Amino acid sequence: MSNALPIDRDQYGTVEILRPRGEIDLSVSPSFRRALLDSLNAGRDVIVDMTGVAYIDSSGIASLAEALHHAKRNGRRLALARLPETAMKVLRIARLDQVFPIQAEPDPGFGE
Amino acid sequence: MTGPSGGRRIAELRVPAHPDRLRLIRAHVQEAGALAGLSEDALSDLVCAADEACQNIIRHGYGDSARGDIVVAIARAPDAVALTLTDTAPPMPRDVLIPRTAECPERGGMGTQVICACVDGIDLAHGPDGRGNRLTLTKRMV
Repeated sequence: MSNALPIDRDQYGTVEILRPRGEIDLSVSPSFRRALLDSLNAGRDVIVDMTGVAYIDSSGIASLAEALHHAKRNGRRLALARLPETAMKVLRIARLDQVFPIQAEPDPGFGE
Repeated sequence: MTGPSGGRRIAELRVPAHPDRLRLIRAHVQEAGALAGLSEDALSDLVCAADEACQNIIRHGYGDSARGDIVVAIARAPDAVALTLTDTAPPMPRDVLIPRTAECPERGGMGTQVICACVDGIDLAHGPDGRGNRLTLTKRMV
């Protein structure tokens, strides 16, 4: 039922920057969720650079929310970067815009 | 040339209710909504609402056990654009479209919240034989 979402990756020590590309909807959100959880389970902190995401719906936001919860439970960090306004709008509607750490530019130092 | 909501019919698309068709549905709503004269912001809202509503039909309407189509119709009334989604899934309870509140946090999901935030009117009707759903989402012309 799920197609693969193209994701470019860069690694800086234990921090991985994921750069998904395209539109994230129900057809690819299971693959997006798996990629996020796999990176966290590999012991990495994760920054999701959203600059290449032209559209994201609630199934994609739910994948991000689950990954954030998983990160917190396992002592890892997850942040979003370069959020397009369309994604920000869905986060606001779901009242999640204050829940995610949001970086203007990907910062592997997490502001420290 | 009237649409299901009584307005002037702009376009209609019938697709299998499958996640792979969501992109096509969004493109259809984008093009037909622009043809109907919606502004860029209003179009973006209607596209989001259409995606979320079709997700609900795929996941909760037809679910894993049923197969069927979704008919996506756009019609233009004098002061609004109506998007009508028709399916043959088991009737959805009307309260699935009530967004959650602080008082009732168990109601509705994130998709319902998005739909309610993005459109000005929501109407859910069931087929005359008790089968199927016709969901009309209305976006006012700005």
